[in-house]
Amino acid sequence: MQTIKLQSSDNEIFECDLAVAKCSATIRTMLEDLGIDENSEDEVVPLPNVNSAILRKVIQFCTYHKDDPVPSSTDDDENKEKRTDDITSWDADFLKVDQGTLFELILAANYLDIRSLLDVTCKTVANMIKGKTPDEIRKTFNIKNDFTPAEEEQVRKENTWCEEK
Amino acid sequence: MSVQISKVVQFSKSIYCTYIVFKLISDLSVEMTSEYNKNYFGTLPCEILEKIFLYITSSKQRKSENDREMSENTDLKSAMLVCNRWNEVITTSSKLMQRFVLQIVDSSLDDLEYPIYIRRYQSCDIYKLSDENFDLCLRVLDIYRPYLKVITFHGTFPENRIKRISLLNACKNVEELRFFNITGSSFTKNHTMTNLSSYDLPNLKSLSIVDRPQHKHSTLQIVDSFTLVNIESLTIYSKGFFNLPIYNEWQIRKLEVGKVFEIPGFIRFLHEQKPYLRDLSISFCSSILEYVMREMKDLTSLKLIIDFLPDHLITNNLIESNTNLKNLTIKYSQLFVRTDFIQMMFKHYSKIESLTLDFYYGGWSFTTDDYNNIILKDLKHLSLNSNSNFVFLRGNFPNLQSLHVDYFRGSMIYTFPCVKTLERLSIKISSFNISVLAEFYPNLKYLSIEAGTDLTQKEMYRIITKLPKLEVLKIKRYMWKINETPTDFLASLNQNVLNVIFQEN
Repeated sequence: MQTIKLQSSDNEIFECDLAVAKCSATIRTMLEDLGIDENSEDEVVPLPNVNSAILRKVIQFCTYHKDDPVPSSTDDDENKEKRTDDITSWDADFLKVDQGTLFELILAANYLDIRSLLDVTCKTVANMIKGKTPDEIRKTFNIKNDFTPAEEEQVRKENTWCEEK
Repeated sequence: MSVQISKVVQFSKSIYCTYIVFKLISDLSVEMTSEYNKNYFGTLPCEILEKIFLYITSSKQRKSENDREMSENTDLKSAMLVCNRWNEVITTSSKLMQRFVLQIVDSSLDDLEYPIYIRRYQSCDIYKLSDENFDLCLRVLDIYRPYLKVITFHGTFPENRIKRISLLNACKNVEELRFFNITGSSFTKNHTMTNLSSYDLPNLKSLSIVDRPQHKHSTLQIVDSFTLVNIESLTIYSKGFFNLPIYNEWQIRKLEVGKVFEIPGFIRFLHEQKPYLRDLSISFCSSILEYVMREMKDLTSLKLIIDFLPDHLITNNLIESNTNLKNLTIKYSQLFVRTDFIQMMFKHYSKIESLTLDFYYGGWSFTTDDYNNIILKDLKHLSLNSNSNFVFLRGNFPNLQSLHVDYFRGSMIYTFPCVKTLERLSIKISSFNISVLAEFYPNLKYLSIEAGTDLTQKEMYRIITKLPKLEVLKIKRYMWKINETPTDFLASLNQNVLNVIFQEN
């Protein structure tokens, strides 16, 4: 089995399956563009935007999902209803982490371009927003209300002028 | 003494050490709380925020009538009220804002100030436009003009031609214009003001004019103030099709019209548009039908509303094969249909994907033998409304995804096409045997029942729990006896999975 070495931002080296690493479109392109020879054992791929704790989680996710069918680009269809209740139980357990880790996973999935991980993490955050009042949302994510009272009133008013389909 | 002093020093040292340790711990805890209080959303780029928000639009918080307050503020509207950044990301995202329709109702926008972020509404409904709210409407359209693609006028449209033109000027980028039920004195007489040149809407691709059926006059002259050169889609339910200015440049792809009386002219029109037309919906008279079935072989979608047709025309024309057809709707209100009609049609339209049959007085019924050899592999959507007996076999529609049955004499579910692939089921019949639902359609995602049932809520609950993929359950209130309230039923359901919509009687 072919392996590849990945280096986290805090200089930890992870050795993992090539197939697992290739879940990341970023790594795939790097290997192709930089012409890193898949046979050269000592080559290390630096990932300066991902720390070791997160990289460990990412590799765990990709190892579990490496045999999943590649989602076709038509899945990105804007008209398709976006569901959030289709998170598998393994993924749900995997994402039972603190908010900091969850958001770092989103950033890592975005940087490494791992579609399935980005989708499932964004869905998880969306589920945390759903069904909450604006104030409950702010409390959940420690967001400061930076509207002036007049601005907030304006947004409220504009909301009454439109209907969500 | 010196021993004493050193002890004191030692003592104070240990106090100092304790202090240091304490300081360390408290600093650490300060750091921990600040870490805990961090707004992680701040670390995400806008496009990720948009991606997250695209997921929160999917389910509306409308579980029952008790939650009406919640439903007024949808999740996305709540999100806009969280902070400036969220508001900006949502309002400036075309993908998110296409889910909203701006509504101009009477004087609802009286106190409109210039918005903080201009919401990229793509669709706007204007109700009861009058002299009073005309200027306000212009202002609103002007603000949202760069983004608006679909504008619908309900009820009124200005009589004064200058006003019409200034209004259309404010709709400059619009791709679709719709006029619904335009009534009132403004359109009961023709206007012959010729001094003003017509106004150009360069992006306009689709036009709909729908008059109330009882409306005596055609409102088609609404369009006299703008040119329609690039129209690709036309929907006209108005008296006198040819009151509409017709352009040689037209390449109409989709045409939907009510009854047409100028038959030879209309057939000429169809003939000119034949190379472009793919989607046709029309109330038919027999000569138009003959032409369509004989000549228009490139249609992929056809909807027929038929009042009367001689029998031989049905067998000769309607069932003549048209292999390109993927969607077929037939609403047939009078004739008795011959027994072999459906059978032959199924044989001819073997590639059909969506079929709607609406035969109110059909006087036929079938035995399973008639259907033994019919397999429509591509059929995904089937909608039936008839007082006749359909008897379907398991193998008839192996890939059916959605089934709608409006009125159905054959009361037992085993006469329904039974397919495991079915995801949507909508029934409006009273004697439907719901208890076998889960067994027949284990993969249902959407279930709508608009009829009474003998089932108690407990029994209903048992059936629902056997449908693990169910997302939407739509039921009428009167399904149950008065002493059983919907709230009891709702409480027993897992609301995280189900979106239950109760309809008033």
